[in-house]
Amino acid sequence: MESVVDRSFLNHETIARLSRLQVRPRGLMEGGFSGLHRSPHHGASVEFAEYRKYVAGDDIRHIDWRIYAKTDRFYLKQFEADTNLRGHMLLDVSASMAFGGEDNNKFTLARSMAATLAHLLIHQGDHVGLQCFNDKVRYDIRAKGSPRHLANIYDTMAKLEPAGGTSLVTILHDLAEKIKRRAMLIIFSDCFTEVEPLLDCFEHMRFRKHDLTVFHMLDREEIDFQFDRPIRFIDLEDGGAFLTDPVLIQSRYRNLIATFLEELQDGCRRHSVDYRPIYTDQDVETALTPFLLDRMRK
Amino acid sequence: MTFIQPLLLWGLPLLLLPLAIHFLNRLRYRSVRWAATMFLLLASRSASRSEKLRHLLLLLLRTLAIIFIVLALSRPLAGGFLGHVFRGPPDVAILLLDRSASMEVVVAGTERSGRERAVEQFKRSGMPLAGSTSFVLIENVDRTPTEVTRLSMLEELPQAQATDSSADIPAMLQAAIVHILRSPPGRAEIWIASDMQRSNWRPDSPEWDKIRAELSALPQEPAIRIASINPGKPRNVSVVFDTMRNHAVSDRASIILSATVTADPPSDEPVPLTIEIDGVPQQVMVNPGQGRARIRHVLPVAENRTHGRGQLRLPPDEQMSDNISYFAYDLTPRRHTVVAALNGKVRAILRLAAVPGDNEVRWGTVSDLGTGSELTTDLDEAAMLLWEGPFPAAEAQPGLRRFIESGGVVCMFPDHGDSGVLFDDLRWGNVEQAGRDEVYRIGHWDTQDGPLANTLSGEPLPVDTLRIWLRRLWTGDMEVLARFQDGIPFLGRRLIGRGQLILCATPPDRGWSNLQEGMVLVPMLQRLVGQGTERLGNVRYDVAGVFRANLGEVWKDADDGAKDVNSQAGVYTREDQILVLNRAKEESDTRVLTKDELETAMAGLTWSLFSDSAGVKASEQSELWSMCMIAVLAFLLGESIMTRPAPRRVSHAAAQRPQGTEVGAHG
Repeated sequence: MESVVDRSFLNHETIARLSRLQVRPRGLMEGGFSGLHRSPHHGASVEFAEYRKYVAGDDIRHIDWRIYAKTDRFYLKQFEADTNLRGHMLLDVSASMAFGGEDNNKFTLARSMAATLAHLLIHQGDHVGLQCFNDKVRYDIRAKGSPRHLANIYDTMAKLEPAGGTSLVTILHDLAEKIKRRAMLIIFSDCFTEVEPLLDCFEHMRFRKHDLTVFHMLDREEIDFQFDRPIRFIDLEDGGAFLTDPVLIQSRYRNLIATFLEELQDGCRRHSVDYRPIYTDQDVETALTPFLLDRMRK
Repeated sequence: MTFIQPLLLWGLPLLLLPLAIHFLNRLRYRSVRWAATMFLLLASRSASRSEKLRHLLLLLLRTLAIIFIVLALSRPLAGGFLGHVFRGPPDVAILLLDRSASMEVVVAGTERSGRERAVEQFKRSGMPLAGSTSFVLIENVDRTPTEVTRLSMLEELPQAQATDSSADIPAMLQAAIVHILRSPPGRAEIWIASDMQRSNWRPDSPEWDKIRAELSALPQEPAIRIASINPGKPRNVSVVFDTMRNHAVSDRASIILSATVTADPPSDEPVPLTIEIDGVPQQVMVNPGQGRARIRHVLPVAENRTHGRGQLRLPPDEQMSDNISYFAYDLTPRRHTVVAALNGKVRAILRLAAVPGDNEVRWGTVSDLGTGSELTTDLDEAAMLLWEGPFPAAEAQPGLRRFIESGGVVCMFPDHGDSGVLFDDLRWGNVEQAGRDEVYRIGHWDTQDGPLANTLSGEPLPVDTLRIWLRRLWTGDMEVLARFQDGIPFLGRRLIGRGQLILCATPPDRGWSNLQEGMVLVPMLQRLVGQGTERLGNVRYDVAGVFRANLGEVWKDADDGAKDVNSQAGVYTREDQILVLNRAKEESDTRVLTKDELETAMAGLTWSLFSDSAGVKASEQSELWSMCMIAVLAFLLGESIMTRPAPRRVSHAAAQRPQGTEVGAHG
């Protein structure tokens, strides 16, 4: 008897609502197939291919006005070879991602978001890949565009459990090198590492012309740090324990967190990284909608 | 520092509560699995000493807040500068108003009496405190605390009106102390307004020791403020009625009236004294050249009158209240003497001396108890009892005491027999015999007052002609009216109630002395029986402010005025009774308290004069509870400021909150 695969991280209603939106990259894409997205390639090989019906959001510079005059309908000239998007979901599955509620922690939200984006990408004719990592890459699924590939991605996601330490900087540098063709990289991580090395990773990825988006997964408790009695903190990744009176360090902790977030955001802005802080008290739709809309406006 | 409620200090261990909570909390930790450990470690490493100090300071503020709450509830007291800084208005001011007769002197330069000025002083000082201080009035007549609800109307109160009474400042202070003890805890002040008359303050009285001790023992010693109402020394002439006895001149009833006219300062200028009896005035000129003049005047009584009243009046001066003195007479009672003597001859002599004539109206009557072995005779109708021999038996002495207390006179003479004991302390001593061919003679006697006083014409009684060869002294406390030349008492007196007990050292017995010759004995006994007769009449004398009408008794002012029988001089009637109230004699004593005497009386107490600009003495204690509550508020305010959530640096990223964007709107 075939076992039932867990798909609880997918909310079909959310996917149905988000399906009206498209995942659009910033800048030019390199894809092996014709798609929605502009290719960076120009030159003699680029020639008029076909007309395509205008859809909302298309660049109106390419509207053929003579066709409109004749038919009262808008059609785009496809002079350039439009290509498809390659998206990569880079999902942090270290133990720190398990912080939050049992059913609603950073990892579960990140997984749901990644799964939803993967669905959107596949169904809009783009390709999607999945790289899961903690202190090393656990799963590396190359970008493809078929429904069967999407099912494979879902199956892999279903098996994921946050565990182990983090080697975020090393992994990201490796992935930056590994993903050679320009792609849309979407990182789901709590980014709990030194800011500067992390920004170096982002710079590396941007140097490779990737469209980088960072969904910074956070829990409010980590930011607020509201405790009224001594606490024995146990690190999720290495299990180390630390007893302290949070009242004594509350102010300092909050300042450190705030500084970290500010530096990360400023650094992302400097490196043209699309930085999105996501809290575990948000749902997938509220987390992804601003991102998708912002991309569609550009 | 002392405390009004020291038992509440047992709450101080409560300060261990924050400490206990602090340490218990450290033990009661819980475990939390944490992701952002890097920030935790960084924060902990960099948790500065100032944070730890801040934490300790918070603990200190909380502990101090509890300490000062407990202190405030214990109501601490402190003196010195601290007490002065935190002294507020008193919770209650007890006003001791001296409204004795001498306070009616019009103060020189004003048109107000001392009493009126005293009320003004109370109002002037009390009105600014009216919102925070309650006022209680204790005046010299009743000495009953009266709450003053409206200080502005103080002068309207009946308890602030003029009287002819005297004042007892120590007793008023005692009443104030009792009131403080019965009242709820609070800071009290005692304000005294007085003309500082020495006879009112009685600085030599041992009561001051008790007063000082009681005031000092109070949980919060009240401050005493004194308004010295100095009337100056106006020229004053006063008259005081002394005695009166029935008399008969040529079978016509009359009364012999004694009075004293005093002039201060002494003056040779004669003063007209109006003596009015039953509405008929007559004037005599009195010359108080030495400062005092005693007069004795015979006033005929109108025919067919058996009782009446009168007054002695002087011309007005700055002190009007002592310019008038009242008297009344009642001729109805018979002078009745009871005689008891072991010696028959002595008994006969005494009978003769008591009633020298046959005219009963003039001389009265006498009854003979024989040896007096059983003093069972009802003495209710008697004015005087003459007794020779051992003292009456113990079972007869209570009745004897009642007789004297009601105004009767008992005159006792010794014999050779056993003494017995009278009233637990009086005993006849040994019989002394003068030497061979020697006699005891009287060397000193009161010629102005008493049974041996000079006659109306001023002639002395031939007391110095008495020859005594046997005398029997007594032991016990007696006022000496006459002494032998060797200083041994001859005639002694003890005032008991309204009457008197007289002891004579020798009987009218030829074997003892020549007293039986009558030249001294008769006038002496006549005067005594005259005094004893007063108890049988309907006239009663008392002192204004001392006499108290019983509940339900209504005494009417004989002048149809509206005088108060409990405080004002005058003649009052009730049914067939006549009550004569005269001003207290001590009110004529113009001596005032010296500064040293005042300081001695107030030694160890916190006091000041209303005229003192310094006001508070350093020893005055003040409650510090308000300071403690201010401190508590300050500590709690500091604690709340320190525990206020630090303004959080909200990064741009953390500030972003996604809006619930409808996908369909952009589809």
